[in-house]
This record gives sequence, structure tokens and C-alpha cells, in this order.
Amino acid sequence: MKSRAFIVASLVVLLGGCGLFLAGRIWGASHVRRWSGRTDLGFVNCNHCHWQSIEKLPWAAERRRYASPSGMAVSPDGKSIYVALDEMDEVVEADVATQSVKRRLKIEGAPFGVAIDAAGDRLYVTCRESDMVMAVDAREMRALERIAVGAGPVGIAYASTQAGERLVVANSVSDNISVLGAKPLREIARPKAGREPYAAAIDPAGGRAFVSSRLAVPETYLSVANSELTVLDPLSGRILARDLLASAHLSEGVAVAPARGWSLTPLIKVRNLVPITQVANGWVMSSGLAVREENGRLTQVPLDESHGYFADPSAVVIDPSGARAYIASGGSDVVTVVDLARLEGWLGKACDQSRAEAIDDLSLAAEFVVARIPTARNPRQLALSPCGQKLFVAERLASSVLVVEAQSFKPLGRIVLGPDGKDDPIRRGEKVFTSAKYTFQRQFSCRSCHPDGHVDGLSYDFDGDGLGDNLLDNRSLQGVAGTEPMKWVGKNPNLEIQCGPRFARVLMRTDPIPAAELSDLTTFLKSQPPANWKRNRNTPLTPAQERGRKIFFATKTSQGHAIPRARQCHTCHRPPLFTNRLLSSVGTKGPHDETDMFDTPHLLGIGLSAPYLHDGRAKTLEELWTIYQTNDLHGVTSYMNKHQLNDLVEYLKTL
Amino acid sequence: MIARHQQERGLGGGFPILAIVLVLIATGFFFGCKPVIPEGSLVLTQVPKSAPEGGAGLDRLYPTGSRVILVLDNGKTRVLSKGLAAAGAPAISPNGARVFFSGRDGSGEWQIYEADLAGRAPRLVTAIKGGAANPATIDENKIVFSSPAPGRSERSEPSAIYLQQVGASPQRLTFGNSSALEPTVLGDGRILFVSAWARSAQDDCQFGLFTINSDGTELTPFALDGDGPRFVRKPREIGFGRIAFHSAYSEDARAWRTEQIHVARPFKSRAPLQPNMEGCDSVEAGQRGAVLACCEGRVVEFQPGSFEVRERFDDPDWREIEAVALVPRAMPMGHLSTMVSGKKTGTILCLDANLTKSTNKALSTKLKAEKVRILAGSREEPRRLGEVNLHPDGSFMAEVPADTPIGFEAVDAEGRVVRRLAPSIWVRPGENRACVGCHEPYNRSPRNARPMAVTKPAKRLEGTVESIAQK
Amino acid sequence: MKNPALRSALRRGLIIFGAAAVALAVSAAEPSGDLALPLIERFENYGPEQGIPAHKVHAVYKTTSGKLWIGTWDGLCVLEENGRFKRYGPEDGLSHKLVLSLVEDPATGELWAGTMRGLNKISGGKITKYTQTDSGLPNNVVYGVDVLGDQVWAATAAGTGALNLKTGEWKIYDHNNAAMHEPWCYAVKGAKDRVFIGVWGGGIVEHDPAKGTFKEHRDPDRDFHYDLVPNDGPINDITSWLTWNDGILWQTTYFGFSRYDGKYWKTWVEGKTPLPSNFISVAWPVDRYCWVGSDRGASVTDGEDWVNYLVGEKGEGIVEIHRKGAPVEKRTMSTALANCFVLGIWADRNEAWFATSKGLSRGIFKTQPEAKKLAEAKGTP
Repeated sequence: MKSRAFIVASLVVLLGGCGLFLAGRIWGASHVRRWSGRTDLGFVNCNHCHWQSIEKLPWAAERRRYASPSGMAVSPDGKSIYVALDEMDEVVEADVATQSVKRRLKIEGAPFGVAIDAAGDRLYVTCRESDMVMAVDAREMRALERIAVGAGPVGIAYASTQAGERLVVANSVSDNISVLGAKPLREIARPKAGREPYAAAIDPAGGRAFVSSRLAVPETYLSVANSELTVLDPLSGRILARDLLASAHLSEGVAVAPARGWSLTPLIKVRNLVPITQVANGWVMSSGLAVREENGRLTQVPLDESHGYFADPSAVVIDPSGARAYIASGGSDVVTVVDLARLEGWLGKACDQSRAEAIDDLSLAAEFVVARIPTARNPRQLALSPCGQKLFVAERLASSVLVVEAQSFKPLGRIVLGPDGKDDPIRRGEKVFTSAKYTFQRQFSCRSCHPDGHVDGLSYDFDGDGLGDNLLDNRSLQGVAGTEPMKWVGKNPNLEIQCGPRFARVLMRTDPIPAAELSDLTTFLKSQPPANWKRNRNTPLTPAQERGRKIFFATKTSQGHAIPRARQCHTCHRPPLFTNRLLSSVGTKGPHDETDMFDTPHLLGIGLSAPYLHDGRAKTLEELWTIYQTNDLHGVTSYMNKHQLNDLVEYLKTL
Repeated sequence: MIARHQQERGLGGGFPILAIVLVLIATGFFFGCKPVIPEGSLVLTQVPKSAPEGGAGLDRLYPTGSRVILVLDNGKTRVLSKGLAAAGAPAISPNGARVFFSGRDGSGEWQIYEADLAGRAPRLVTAIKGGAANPATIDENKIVFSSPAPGRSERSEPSAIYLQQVGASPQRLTFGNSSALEPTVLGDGRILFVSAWARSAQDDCQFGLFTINSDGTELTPFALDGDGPRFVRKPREIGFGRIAFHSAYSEDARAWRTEQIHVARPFKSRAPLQPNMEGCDSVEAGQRGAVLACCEGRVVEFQPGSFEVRERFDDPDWREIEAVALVPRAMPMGHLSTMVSGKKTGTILCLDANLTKSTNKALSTKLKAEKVRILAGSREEPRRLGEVNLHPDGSFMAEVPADTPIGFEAVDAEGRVVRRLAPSIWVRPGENRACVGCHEPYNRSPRNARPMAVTKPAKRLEGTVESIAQK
Repeated sequence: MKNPALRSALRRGLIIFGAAAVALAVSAAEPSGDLALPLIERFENYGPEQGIPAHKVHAVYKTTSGKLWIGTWDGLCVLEENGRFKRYGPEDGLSHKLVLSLVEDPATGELWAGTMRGLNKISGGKITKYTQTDSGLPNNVVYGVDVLGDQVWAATAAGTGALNLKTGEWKIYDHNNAAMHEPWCYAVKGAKDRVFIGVWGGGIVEHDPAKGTFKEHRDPDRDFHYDLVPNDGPINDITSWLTWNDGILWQTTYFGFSRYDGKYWKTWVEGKTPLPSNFISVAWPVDRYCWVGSDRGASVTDGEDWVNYLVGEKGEGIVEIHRKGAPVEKRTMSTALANCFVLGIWADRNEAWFATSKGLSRGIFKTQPEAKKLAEAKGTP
């Protein structure tokens, strides 16, 4: 009797459970259909649309900060070196003789670049997050004054000219250059630069300043993108030349060669339009140096060798005699030494064609590269003592500064700035992210295409699905946590698979990243906030942006017609991540695409991640709805006038 | 209670037994399973001084009586090729624990053996028809070698490079019409080997160095293109960015010179390894950056660029011709294959068939090709798979049979062949192979431009050629 | 003198000699010293032989670095040191070949060019284009462009757009959000703290960017063809161009010419005033006087006196000097404008350049120390 009742009860529970499950599924499917307006989705997980919270994402949590050196400046007497520690909000003064930190100065806003005046009295520090330049009394290590510049100031250069002291500041987020008078700080001009200006140098003798922009500017689809070396008058800020570094990016450094009138800019030569059938022979990218001669002639020469690569050249300094240039390769933990007399000799005898093809000739570097100095992890900035006897290498992910005897290339010691975070998976992951050792012949790192985890603005042709497919736009890794699946077709369910064997097969052409390091890498990636997150979060919306926000969330057109739910912006780009993480068709299938269903990208930091769409065909946000909109499939926008479109774009830039 | 009882019993009664077992395991691990070989010991190939000259191929290099021995740091030696008629070409696994070598038993066939470092008889690793020679290690368990072993039989087919996981079947990696010989594994994971250039009949006796990935993809010329003595053997990566090798103008030459190239510019850096360095039979990477060489029948060591040569070993009764240090080295980089199993074709993309390394631009322009004829099969009697028109930018793309020697004829508007490559390259199944040009300059990266050929599907040229793998 | 042929030849010679003597005498006659306007002594003309790719030159601009740029029907050109023009077209990145307007950003030295399909920035040898599909530019037809501080203003066929050079933000002003009768804007000019927009059919819109206010200046009599009451406001609502300098706004229309000093308007029409033609395309101020380009030639006026440079029926240059209260001085010149239809003007105190329907002309001034002194005495910088 008891057992029969038990069986009946069990059956009732089972059937009830099944019924509830079935009813739940039916309700769920109809709920999805009702709120998405789509019938092709069926049942999807609740968390595609619900239970997303920015606060719960890894990148929203406070991460440990390290004494990662960014900019450096050496005092005129060579006794002190000043190092900006952007993560720590500090500038420290280290004693060169004892190789130890002497004094620390707190500067809020991520101090990044450092320049020192001719007398050694004043330091000038760029604050990357507060968009300021700070003047600091170098003798007393105290802040003197500050001035607002463009957004994201990084590189800074100082020169004393006949008309007075000048500072040239590269504003990496607002893509412009602040030309400042030094005492007191005042902005003289703010001309436009290329995309993400990053480094600045002044040739006081020649009356010219140089600013290198590290990203290439997307032009028309399938055309070669170039980065810019901006030449300007440091007195007036007037633009003298905008030299295009053909097919180059990550040009994060610039230096002036005294006597020769050259400027040197390290770069990555990208070959993104060529199908990635291989990586050997620099097929995807290689490292080089752009030499700009006094007459403006540009020649790109390789820093890589036929079978040896030195990834992510990020900084360059030239000794006072102009004999040698030192280039830090952040991905390879090497400083490359170039003999400029040899380079000049080669340039002198090279014909036009040889110069034009030089960067593609991997056997050429041996003509002028005289040494490769090993460093600790991630050398990113360089400085020389006033006489050029000592080379200082900022080993960013080792939290140290290597001191090298410049003549013999022998290490003299290391200034330890803080712990290097061996016990922190995020820090370890950053080391994986920035290292080229996982790719064939150590050709490139994750950072080579994702500077600071963001985009390089390029589209690549992977051959995984055969030759001849469309290019794929490089997507930002900033703010990527919680936006799975990965890839434009949503093929990879998570970052671990995205960055694991599939990545090794398609791009690295080596064994996959070992499991422990892969885990660190994905932990690091998930800790990366979206581009411009802090700046956008702390800035109220302007009236135009507010109008744009209303358009984004509009359910009716200006004329009062209802917008189908499936084509309301916020249905697919659902806050807070501005994605529902589902595939959608927005009418963008290209001639070689196998599908018209593409992953709905999140929109956080979208204003800085051009170009757009899966193949990067739209170079601006406007083009999404002016050129590449088809039958209102990518949101209903045909009712908008130009005011409204501009407002919508302004709002999107705030995400 | 029961668990506690068992626990107490286990601790009380089983502990001594467990301890003994652990000690035995530890002892076995340290002393039984793996013999302790001091780091820096040498593995040598010795040839009897009285050995008769003659023969061909391996028989000539390693005449009867040749043996592979282990020389411990205390000077004691162990014969590793016990029971074999001849042996040579030792290779050490990256962890420095395993030794493979070529050996010939009484049957007269050369195969690959693994040495027992404790001095017992070696273990047969390969049993491939035609024999196997010149092993090199990719990782602890994978070797590459060439087969058939040169010199033993009527050479009906050229030697190829094979890869074999120890205990598994060999997989063929090369499919050219010229022999692929003497493989060695570079730090970046590629297999470097010696083969003849095959652009024309004159190249028959012009040897160069080539590389492939560990799955046979991406065949690439590496160095040596008519810039010195034409015969080449035993290339070895010796550190400091250098590859050493031996060369001679005649295959029968008594004294081979030892040369080097810099990997930074391999086609432009050929030079003697040391001044007046002749009479050496082998060069290998030694310890702490030193070079280990066998010269004039003894083992010596020197630092690159230094004239100071230190003798490491010399047995007056034997002539030492090969020496490798039994030391761990960095594991070569791995390679995740891009091959597609089950596919029988691969794709060739040429970015510009009119890009050549000719410095005579006028001549290059004059010899402008309009289409490319794709050949397959033997070098002497190749079959035409078909023709592909060049796009205005000189690019073309074709799908061709995999694992088959493929050649090209660039044809101008009048139908004249302006450039030719006899069938000598291959693609692996599913491989997408691209080249910058046609006889293009070496070590050249592609120009960043979208090749027009990729805007349309590759022309399928299957032909009727039976692939070598199918044979 | 029996030989009629000889007689005829002598007669012809005398006539030529006489005419030449008269012309020389007239040209040598200096105007009265009270004329506060520059006088052109002769014109130098430039055309295809100097590398200008099209007859029609729409705009001319000389930058502070001394480079002369012209916008033509077939590309943007710069005069090089060898005396020839170098052309930039769409293949160089220009958004369209027909260049309508040019202006220099005084802070950066960058040149902005409005074309029939987009706005362009020419900076350091690089051209960056802005179109209505890839940027916030309201419309691709950019008739006028000016730079005021951090803003680039573009008068287009669908409103006036303002690009903030620091933030990259675009703002559009048209009939939807500004006191603008219609969105078709022909000209825009920064005037210290405000911006004047010339609206086709809508007169002039005066905008104060700081306050966000707009004020419309319309023809009070609203008559399309006649200026019923002179000096009561803009001469006409059909603004074809406007310009401003030193507190004075100048408006051109196809029905006359206006001047506004911030308080009073003054108007000119053909026939009743020295204005040679009602059909005026362009004006360019220097100090407190203004160059005016019409379909009959170029003029210069300070609002009192006028000097007109016309092209006679045979292509000869004609100069008319209108002094207040004095008879008109009229004489021929040895050279003339390349064409009577003037589309663009650039001038300073030393020279004047005229973009015409058939080539480019440079007006070379007579040395006039008195005029210069007078101009300075009138308070111009």
C-alpha cells in the first residue's frame, strides 16, 4: 500500500515536473519571441537578457596595482631617473648610483609620460586618465601647476627654443596634440594627429616636433591602412607634414637623431590584406623602423631577421652623438641596437626600389643591427643618461628598470620598483598577453593586434575556412567578459576556446598556450574594462547625447510609428553590456560570407573601435546607417534626419 | 568504525610494506628505469681506423665495424650499438635522456635504433622498407628520419623525410622528386633537411637546405643556392643564430669543409665556421654555447669565433667522426597542423607570378607571364594539370592534388615559357600554400595588398595524377 | 602722297599712335590722393598653360605661409615654386573634383576645402575627407567653409554644420533648430564671438554660439526684385555670399549688395549706385573695405568710393573710379581680368587674386602710400 502510494506520488511529481518544465519552455519561448520579435531563436538562456550586472563582471572589480614603469626621464646630471608609475598614481625618483628609489610623489590620474626641462628643475608629467599635464618641482618633488590637455595624454617631449620652452603632448584618446608653453603651463595649439598619438619628440635644432600615432587609420574597405607621423612646428603648433607610414601600426615611439636630422619611429608592418596562409617570412606582420630623413623622405627598414623576430617595438632612443639607436621590443624582451652610421651607409647606396622594398627584405636587418640586449618582461620605454653612457630600460611587467652600460651592452643592475606580481593571475596573464613566445618564431604577441587589449583598427583574412573569404574585423578585448560567445560567427563559446587550440592553429602556428598560462591569459582579458570606461562613466550626457539615448531606446519613430521590437536598438544591444549575445542578421552578408548571422557585438567603448561590422567595411559609425543599412534591418533608422543620426552617434560614443 | 579500523590496520600493518614499495619505486625510478648519465657525457660515432674504404651512402660513411658509444665524464665508455654491424648518426632527445641512431644489422638494412644507455642492446625503432637513416628528434617521443636509407639499394625512388612516434607507424612528410636527406630539427620546430634544387636539370647536383613544418607543410628554401660547393651534408643548429654544415665540390671528396650561415640572413652569410677548418666530419651544439666537432678523427670543442680548440676525446684505435653532448636542450616549438584529414587536395596561392628575383627589371618586364601552367608528377615527364590565367596583379590560385610533386611554367602572351619550376614542391591535404612570387627573392615578406585571385574560388586542377601517398 | 596704300598705312599708324598716346595719358593720370582703396595696375592671368586643369576656377586662397591654392572645376591646385600649379583630385583623397570654397585655419595652418561632395582638410600634405555618409556633415554640397576657434563651419545645401575640432562632435543648424527660413546655406563666416550664415532665400542668420541664440536679418521689404527702401536692411533674402571683417558684414546677392556695421545697413543696386552688376557671387574684405566679384568683373569699395574692374566687349580691361561727389573716372587698362565672371576672391593689402569662369587672375597694385596711410588712419589694424 505504502509502495503503491509512493509510486503514484512519484508519478504525479514526475508528470507535474515534466508539465512544469514543458510549460516553462513554452512560456520561455513565447517570452523570447515576444520580447525579441524573432521566431528563429526558440528557447534561449535567461541570462542572455537578464541578470547581467556590470558590478558582477571581473573588470568592474578593483584589481591589484603594480609599480609598472611607463615614462622615464633622466636628470641633466645623470644622477637621478624619474619614473612614472601609472598604475600606482606615482612618480618616483631613483638614484642611479645606488639603483634604488629615493622619493615618491603621488599624482592622481595615471601619470604616464615624463619630460624634464634643460636645467633639471621641472618635471612635466602627462596624466593619462585625468587628461592633465602636471608640472613638478624636480628638486623638491612637489606638484607646481597643471593644465588640461586633450584626452588620454601619454607621450610628452620638452625643448628649449629661441621663443621659449615648449612641450609637445600626444593625446591618445582625443587623437590630437597639445602644444604647451612651459612656464607657466599654457596651451598654444591643439592640432589633430593620426589615430592614437602616442609618442612625441622635438628636434630643437631643426625647429620641428614629431608625434607618432600608433594605430593605422581605416580608409576604404580592402585598402591599406597607414599610421601617421605628424611633423609640426613646436613654437606655433602648426602642422608641417603628415607623413603616412604605409601599412604600419603600433608605432609607439619616436626619436630625433641629432646631427643627421632624422626621426626614427619603430613600427609593426602589417600585412592584413594578404590571406594568412602562414606566418613564416613575416607573412602576417614584422617589426621595422621608419627613418624620416631631413628632406622628409621616408624609408621603412626591418628590425626582424629572416628567422628571428622581435615583436612589438615600442620605444626608441638615440644617443647624443647620433651613433646608435636603441629600440625596445616589448613582446620579445629585447632591446635592439642599430648602428646609425651603417644604416646611413645602406640608405646612401640604396636605390628607390630597394628603399621601397626594404621593409619586406628580412635579410636586411643584419646590415645595421649590431646587438640585441636581453631584458626582463616587457621593455616598453627607454631613456639614456645625458652623455649616452647608460641606457635605462623600463621593464613594465617586471616592475623594474634595467640599467645597461651602453658601450658594451652589459647590464649594470636593476632598479626594483615593486613586486612583479608572480602570485597574481591577472598580472601573469598580462605577461602571457604581451609575450611573443607563443607564436611561431616569436613573431607577434596578442598585444601586437590588441594594443592595451583594444583594437588595431584592421581586418584580417584568416584562412581557416579556406582562401578567398572576406576579411574579419579585429574586435576589442576590452570589456569582453560576459559577452560570450566569441568570434563574429559566435563559433567559440568562451575565451578559453577562442585563445586556445583554435587560435594556435589559425594564427600562432605553434602548440596551444599551455593550460595554466591560458587560464592566466583569460583571467587577464576578463579583467580589462571597456575602452574609455572611466572617462565615459564620469561624464554627464550632453543634450545631443541625451537625445541620442532616447533614439537608442525608442520604440516609435519620430512620426509615431511603432518600431518592431526585433529592430529596436536595445533589443539586440541590450544594456548593461549592450548585447544579447545572440546571432542576428542585419543585412550585412558579404559576397563571400557563408552566413548572414553574426554575433551581436557589445557596444561598450564602441566609439574607439572603428572600423565596424564583421568585415570592417564601415569606417565610421555613421556609415552603418548611411551606406551599409539595408531595409532597416540594422535597426529602424530610415525615419531619422541627420540631426537624429548625429545624436545617436554621439550617444554611442559615450558607451 | 569500520573505516577507522581499516585505517588503523593500514597504518599499523601496511606501513612497512608501503615504505618498502615506495623505496623500491624510488630506487627503480632513479637507478633502475633510467640510468644516471652525468650531464655532459658524449655520444660518439667511431669508425675503425682499419675500416676499408668504398661503398656508398651510409655504408661509406659508417663502414662495417662503426659503432656508437657513450663516453661518460670520467672517461669510461659504453658501446650503445651492441650487436649491430655498423652504426652512426646519433641524435639526442630534447630532454637529453634518449639516444637514437642509425644502425645496420646482419641483414644489411639500415634502420633507426634507440640506445640503451645502461649498455644493453639497442631497441629497433623503425622497420621501414628500404631502411631509415639520420634520425633527429622533434620531442621526447617523435623522431624524423630519411628513408630509403641512401646507398644501399638501386635507388628506384628518392629518399623522403618521415616522422614517427616511437612505437607507431611512420608518416611521410616530403613528396618531392629529389631526395630529402639528413633532417635536423630547428628550435622553431621546423625540420631542416638537405635536398637538391630542382628548377632545372642543371640543379641535379646543386644541393641546398630546405625546411618543412613537422606535418610536411610549408616547404621553403632555407639556404645555399649556388653560392659555394654544391654538395652539402649534416646541417646542424649550433646556437648563436648559426647553422653549421659540411660542403664539398665532389661527393667523393676526402676532406669536406665546414661552413656556417647566419639564420638572420641565410642566403647572404655563407662562410667558413672557423678559418682553415677542414677535415671535420661533424659539428654539433655543445654545452654552454660551445661547438662540439669531430675533426681529424678526434673530438674537439671550441667557442664560436675563438681559435682556442680544446680536445674532448680521442681514442687512438678509432676515428671519431660524430659527437653529440648528452645534455637537455630547449624543446623545439610545436606546430599545430592546419592539414585537413580526408582531403585530397591543397590550394596554391601565388601573389604575383611576375615577381622574380631578377635584378634586371627590363628583362623581367619583357618576360611577363600571362598564365601559369601547372605540372605534376615526375620531373622528366610531368603531366599538365591545367592552366590558370594570371590576374592583372599577377596573382593566381589553384587547387591541386595533395602529396604530389607540383611544378609550374609561367607562360607569356605568345605561349612561351618564361619561367619554370620542375615538379618539386607539394601541398599537404587541406594545406593553403602561398608564395610571394615566382623565383622570388629569398626571405621576402609579402607586400600588403589584397591579391585579386582571392576574389574568386581557386581553379580546381585535379588531373589524374596519383599522389605519392596513394602509391 | 599719291600712293593711296601708303596714305592709308600712315593714317592707320597715326590713329594707332594717337590712341596709344591717349591711353598712356589716361593711365598715367593718378587718381586723387583721397582714394582709400587699392588700385590695380595690371592683371596677371593663369590658365591651363600654368597647369590649371580647368577653365572654371571657383575659389582662391593664399595661406599665411604664402602658398596659393585654387579650387577648380577639376581639382584642388597649389601654385608651386616653378610657377606651375600642382593638382590634387579624388585619386589623392579629395572627396570631389569640384572645389567650391577654401579657408585656412589660422591656428594650425590647415586648409579646408568645400566641394560638391564633401568637406576636406588638407594638412601636411594629407587630405582627410568628411562626407554626409561617413561623418556628421549635414550635406555633401559644401558652398562655404570657415574656421572660428575650435570649430569648422560648413555651409551646405542642407544646413550649416559645425565640427568641433577638439571633440569631433558635429552640430547642425537648419530650419529645424535655428531661425533659418530654409536649410540651403551658401556662406558662413566667423565674426569674433559670432557666426553669420548666408541662407539662400533666408537672408542672413546671426548666431551667437556661446548663448546659443539666432537672429535673422531679412530684407524688410521682402520684394524679390526691387529694393523698395534703400538702406533698410539686407538688400535681398537670396544671399549668395557673405563675409565679415573688423565689425563690418558684407552681403552679396543676385539682386544687389549690402553692408552692415552692426547698427546700420547700406545697400547698393546696379544703375542707381556704382555697383556694376546686381549678380554678385563673392565678396572679400580687407581692413574695412571689400572686394566684390560679380558677373561683370571685380570691384572694391569702402562703402563710399568704388573702383570697378570690368572687362570690355573686346576683352580689354576697363577701370571705373567712383568717388563720392565726383564724376566717374573711366579708362582702359593694358591688361584685364581673365574673365568678367568672378567666382572667388582672395586679397590682402598687397595683391588681389580673382577666380573667374575662365582662369585665375592676379591684380597687381599700384604703389599707393596715401591709400595705405588713409586706411590706417581709418583705424584698421
